[in-house]
Amino acid sequence: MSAIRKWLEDLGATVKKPTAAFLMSMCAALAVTTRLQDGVAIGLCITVVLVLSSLTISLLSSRVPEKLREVTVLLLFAVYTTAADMLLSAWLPSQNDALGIFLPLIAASGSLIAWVDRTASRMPLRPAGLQSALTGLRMTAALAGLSLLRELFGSGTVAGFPVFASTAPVRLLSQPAGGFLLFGFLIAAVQGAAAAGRRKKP
Amino acid sequence: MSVRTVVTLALTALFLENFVFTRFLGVRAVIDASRSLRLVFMNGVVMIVLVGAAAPLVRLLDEYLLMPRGLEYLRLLVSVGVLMILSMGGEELMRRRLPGFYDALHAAQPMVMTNTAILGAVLLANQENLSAPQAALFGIFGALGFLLAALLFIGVRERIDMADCPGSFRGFPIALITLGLLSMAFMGFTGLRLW
Repeated sequence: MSAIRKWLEDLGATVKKPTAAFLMSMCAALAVTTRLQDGVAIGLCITVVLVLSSLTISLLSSRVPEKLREVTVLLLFAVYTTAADMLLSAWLPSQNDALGIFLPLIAASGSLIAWVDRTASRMPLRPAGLQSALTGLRMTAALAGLSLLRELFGSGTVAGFPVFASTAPVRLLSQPAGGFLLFGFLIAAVQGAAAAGRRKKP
Repeated sequence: MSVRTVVTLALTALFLENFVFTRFLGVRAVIDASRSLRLVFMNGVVMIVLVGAAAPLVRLLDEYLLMPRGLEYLRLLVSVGVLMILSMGGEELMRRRLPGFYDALHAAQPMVMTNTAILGAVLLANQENLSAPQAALFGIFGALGFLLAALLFIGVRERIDMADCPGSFRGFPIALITLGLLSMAFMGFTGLRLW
């Protein structure tokens, strides 16, 4: 129990302000967290788009006028999302079909765009790439965990392989309502652990 | 288009496949807009006009410009471009011609490009191969569904703000759980046979 608590506290300590905003931008990706592989795939796509846009805007920011930067970031997101979409449909067409419109919707993830627009554009190349990669991988881990829980208890399988002999224990989790509830409880757990960690070491 | 198609589209978009509750589209916008009733209505109006115009436009561009030339992969870029031009152009036009409207609506403008329900509606209309008028109706009813969800949510939110909720649930988590419970209520509509 204490190991889990420690892990949660560590996770909570990493959830600083920017990451709380990233949690919110996971909302649209929630729709495809009913199977483990879908959650991992959308997380990796988000990471790729985020890293490439951060690197590009970090290189371009001195040449793009302030007024046009937001538009540039929006277009960069659209371009790289299209690229990710094309790559995935070439390599793993069935995975691409499973993600449906939620892969192109990465182009509208608000907090990520705001972060790239305001923070990554002022960073040199290397820190921009590193930070965005870390953020993306953290989101992938969160999405993977969420989809593992939803798939295991919602449909009784892990990545398609049956685990429970009989029917799934909590069918609600595979429904959209279950996704909302589980995500809400998980964030509450992380926030609670972070608050407990802060109380311990003032 | 028969009356029956229209009613089916409306009931599906409002209740059976509500963007917010069954597809997780525009969740962020619903939570952000729930600061005031005014902001909810502004978002709803902007979304109805924007999606009602963009969905058929993108559909036509797709059918007559992209498909014949085998450029389907540009769909996302075209959708984002059309939305950007319509929202920014519309804002500029309103600022010059209808300053009253502009003052009332421009607070909702920054939320437009990052509202997944708007881009999602355009992409869905395209994916389901709707005709241009059907796409317009799909967009408008989808936006009304979003407005319905946002109105239901703000009603609950006002009570949550006054309730004594545990510290770690305050803010985003309790909002998500509220949406989950509302979504469970909407699950009651599944399996409804229209005709």
